[in-house]
Amino acid sequence: MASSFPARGRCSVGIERKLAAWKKAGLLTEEQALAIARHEESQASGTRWLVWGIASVGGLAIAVGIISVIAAHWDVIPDKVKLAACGALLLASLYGAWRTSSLENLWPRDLFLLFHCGMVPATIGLIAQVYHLSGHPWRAVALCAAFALPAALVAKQGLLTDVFIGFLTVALGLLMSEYHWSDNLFGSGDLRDLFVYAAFGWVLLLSVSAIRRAHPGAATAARRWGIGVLTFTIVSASVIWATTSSQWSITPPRPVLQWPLVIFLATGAMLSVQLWWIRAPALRAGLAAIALLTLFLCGALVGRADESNLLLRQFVGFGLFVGLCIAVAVTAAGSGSKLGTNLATLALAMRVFVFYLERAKNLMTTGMGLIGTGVVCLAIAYAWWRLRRTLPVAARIAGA
Amino acid sequence: MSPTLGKRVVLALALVDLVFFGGWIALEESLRRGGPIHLPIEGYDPRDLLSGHYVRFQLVAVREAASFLSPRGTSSPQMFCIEARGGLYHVKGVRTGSASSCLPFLRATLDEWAHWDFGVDRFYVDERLANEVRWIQANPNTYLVAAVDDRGVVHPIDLVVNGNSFGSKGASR
Repeated sequence: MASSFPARGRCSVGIERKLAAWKKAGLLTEEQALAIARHEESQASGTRWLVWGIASVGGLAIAVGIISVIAAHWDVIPDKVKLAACGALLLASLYGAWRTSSLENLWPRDLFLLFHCGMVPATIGLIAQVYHLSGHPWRAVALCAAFALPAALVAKQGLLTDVFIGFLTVALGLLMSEYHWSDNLFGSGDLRDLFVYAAFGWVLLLSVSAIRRAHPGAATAARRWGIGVLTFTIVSASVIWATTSSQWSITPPRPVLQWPLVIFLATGAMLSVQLWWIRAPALRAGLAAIALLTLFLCGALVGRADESNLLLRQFVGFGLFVGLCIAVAVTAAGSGSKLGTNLATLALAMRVFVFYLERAKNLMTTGMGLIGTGVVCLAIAYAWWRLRRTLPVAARIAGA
Repeated sequence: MSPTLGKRVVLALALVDLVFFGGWIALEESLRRGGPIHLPIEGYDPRDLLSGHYVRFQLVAVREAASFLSPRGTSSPQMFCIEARGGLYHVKGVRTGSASSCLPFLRATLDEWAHWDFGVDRFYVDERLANEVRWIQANPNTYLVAAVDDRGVVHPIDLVVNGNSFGSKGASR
């Protein structure tokens, strides 16, 4: 009986390594591993992928070519023809979705719906161009989100939910920019934008368990965006956090708004309660730590309105942020989420860098400080690794 | 979601598309049916906007309106009477009576910089022509062709620079 894998044709190296590891761990027999390898090779065989690849390139080239030709003659095309063609494409995409709804494989329908989601902003843009309309763009993007929602509900894949949430996220940012909420970001450190986005992230994560049963694809997309938006806000906050007025501020600071912070805390509390009930009891301590540290951090942010005890405030803020990142990383590791651990580590790294920059205010001292910190971290990691290696031996010696 | 329900949602979406976008286009067309007027403009700044190009400008009426009524400390919106002088419409004062007391009139609100805003400050121009606008100075043959509805809102139709129209060839007139 052959004891080696089929001659390496199209069975990937990754699969071979995995099979070898599983065989070594006693999870697979030789015959099972061979059967899997042969199956994978048969799946990868043939030139179908090559044909699909060439066809895709050809189709894309034709589409882009048609768009280019139309763009070159855009000015001579009558407005009514442009509007009629756009409307026809809009309705044709839905007709295609309607016709393919009965198919067993719903990918074609979802593609038509995705095309419709793209045609909506194109139509809005065309009408604005033909009639020379102006206004704040958040309204147009919010409209796109409204039209994308039914498609997201109908679609089997989570991709259309990604589109809907994407439109929503952009509309939120544009709405805040219309009211100049970012003006205070680097000046008085008013993080209202980030609190609104963080609250939005909490809401997305809250919705995951509610929609998972009805629409698993959408739930996955909501979770993806919730984690993404939260990561963005945490990393941004770690960079923007400052306790002194920035020299970049050229406009008078606007009054600091507290209600975005309140909304953030309220939605965070709701999510904490939800996680408390649905997650394993072993994670509850971690969740409690995260909630408490978040509360303290928000308190530190509100409390730093005046400039006294600057050094203490910087260290307190830094310490709370580090504690929060560590709590998130440990809790994520405990729940088996490598992504959560990695993102928490990233936020921690950004905050350490910004802290040194805050204190040192120049790159040289920052660099020396970071190198020193890095050496300490590596030393701790090495010591931990050595301890893990020697401990089982010590336990065996103690047992004998 | 069952295929039947999915089909119904798609059908409803198509209906919404038809009603919404069709209604929007019909509204914009009807707002431009009135007799067009010529409003002088100043300030040119061709710039990109994603897939298209547009020209930013300011109506001369903004400056004229501020001379009749300072925007600072004034309530918004305000109505300004306009009159034709040499083929171009200029602000002649603040409307104090009902809508029929002066026709036509323009409706102005306050923008974020406390200036009068007549709601129109851009015109989409073919990108190959946009840069030409940069070198043109204000003169009697440079103006915005627009329709004004019965609420005093300005709806752009065409942009004429040095007597040359920069509107789309098939623009609604």
